Amino acid sequence: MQIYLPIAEMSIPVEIIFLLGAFVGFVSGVFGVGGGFLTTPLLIFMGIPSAVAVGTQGSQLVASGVSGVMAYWRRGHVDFMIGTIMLVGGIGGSLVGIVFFQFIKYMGQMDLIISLLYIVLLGSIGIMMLFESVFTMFRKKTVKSEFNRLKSPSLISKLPYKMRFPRSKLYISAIVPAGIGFVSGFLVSTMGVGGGFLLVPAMIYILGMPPLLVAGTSLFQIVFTSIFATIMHATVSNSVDILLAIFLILGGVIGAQFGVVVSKKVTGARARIILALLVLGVCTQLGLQLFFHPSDLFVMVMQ
Amino acid sequence: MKLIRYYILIFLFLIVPAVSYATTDDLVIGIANNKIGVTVGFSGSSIEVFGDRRDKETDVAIVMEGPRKDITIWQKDRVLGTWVNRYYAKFMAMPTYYNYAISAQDLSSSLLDAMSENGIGHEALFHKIEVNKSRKIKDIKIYQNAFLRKNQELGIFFQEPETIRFMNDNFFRVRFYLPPSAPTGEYKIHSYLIKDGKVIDKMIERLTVEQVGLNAFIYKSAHEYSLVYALVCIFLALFFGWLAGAVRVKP
Repeated sequence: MQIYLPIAEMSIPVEIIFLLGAFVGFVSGVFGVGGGFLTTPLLIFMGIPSAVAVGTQGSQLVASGVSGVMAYWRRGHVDFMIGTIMLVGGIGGSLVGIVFFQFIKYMGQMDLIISLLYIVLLGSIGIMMLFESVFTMFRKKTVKSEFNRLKSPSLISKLPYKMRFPRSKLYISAIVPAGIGFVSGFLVSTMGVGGGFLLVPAMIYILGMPPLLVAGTSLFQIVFTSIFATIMHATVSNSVDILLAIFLILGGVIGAQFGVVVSKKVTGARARIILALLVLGVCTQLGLQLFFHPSDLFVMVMQ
Repeated sequence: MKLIRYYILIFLFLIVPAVSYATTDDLVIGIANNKIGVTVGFSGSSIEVFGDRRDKETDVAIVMEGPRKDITIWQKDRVLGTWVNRYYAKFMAMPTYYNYAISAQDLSSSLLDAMSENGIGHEALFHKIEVNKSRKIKDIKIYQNAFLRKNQELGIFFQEPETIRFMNDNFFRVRFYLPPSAPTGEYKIHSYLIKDGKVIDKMIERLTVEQVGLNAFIYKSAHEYSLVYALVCIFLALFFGWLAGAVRVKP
């Protein structure tokens, strides 16, 4: 069934959006990630304007994150103080991201910049994840025991504006969590990804937060940053398509149910290896487009 | 007597303009509907144009064009091993939909002259369009061809002109197809009556393609009440997200 998307102003088979949402929901259910890194490139590949793909993706991040945040909240696994500081940085980051987004759109280099950002991000994350998970699988070590031995680098401890974070038992400069939040906000508003796979290791290795609080706190900041980015995209560039969002979210909700069932069979290092290969697969696909002779040398842009 | 003179004067005032109007009106066209509504389930539409010409020794050309926008064609080139958008040709105020029909089976040179003068057909259209381009571009032709190919793939430009069907010597109709990807906005249907390489009469009909119903409501809310719209989107996302968590089978 064809459906006409009012903001993207194009007609698209509704089944395809639904299946895309379900696939991403499934992946996020299995691996516990947001899945934005899959949705945005796939939407753009389907012909949805990049601006609408990125703008709409924010609301899906809200939907896929909210139940997780509530679950962690109930168990008390959210450090609201660090989360709020990160959120302040996140809002700054998404403001910069939106200005940057408008700029590359104006320059006509949107495809290139978005692809390059994705390749750099997914490539580095995928390789890191692959090495780490293969390493742990052979060493039979738990990840947690490794995290606890790490201390925050000395340069970071010299930064000003130190604050006490009692919940995480930390005394660090507020610039560090705000900076991490800034990067995440930038990713949400330019690429439509929450950046959980970047935030989680950063919070563990750089901030030195207790791993128990990391997932809930990062999700808390991603949900609120995505809310802010959605408001910005909707008011600045009118690029949030509510029908597209609804079908993506509905597909995602159903896909995630199956994903959670499968996730019990695929756990630990093995799950991370599969996820790393998936991330690298998307990265390679984007790279091929950029580095190999394109089948069509011409691109059309309407203004 | 004086009264009769007045009557004649009034009669002349009333009749003369009407008669002169009728004599120059050698071509008349009409469309059944001046509004095409784009609904959620919009899957394209066709526009039926009816017309009548006075003289059967003339040719008729009909052009339907979409709202005009600046459209840029980028050409990729290799820079440091990657393929990036390098050269551009920006077609200023280009129709975003273009389809035409011509009654003549074979085009005489005088007819072709009239077509290029009035921007009928792709070649003539490009002649009338102003282009901003990268300095290095010498041959604009490849950009025009890329433009045509891209738009033909989208179904908003057409390879071949439509055929004009005559019901008798003078009365004709032509059908233009509007694909689901057709841009919204005001369309113009230009009609030309051509005799001996000269346009002797022309007429414009207007057609509005706009979103209606739920789509129109969403579009309007997103543009006019964007903050409220954003909040509704977020509320829906929060609700569905919460619902998904609530119904999830607990391990």
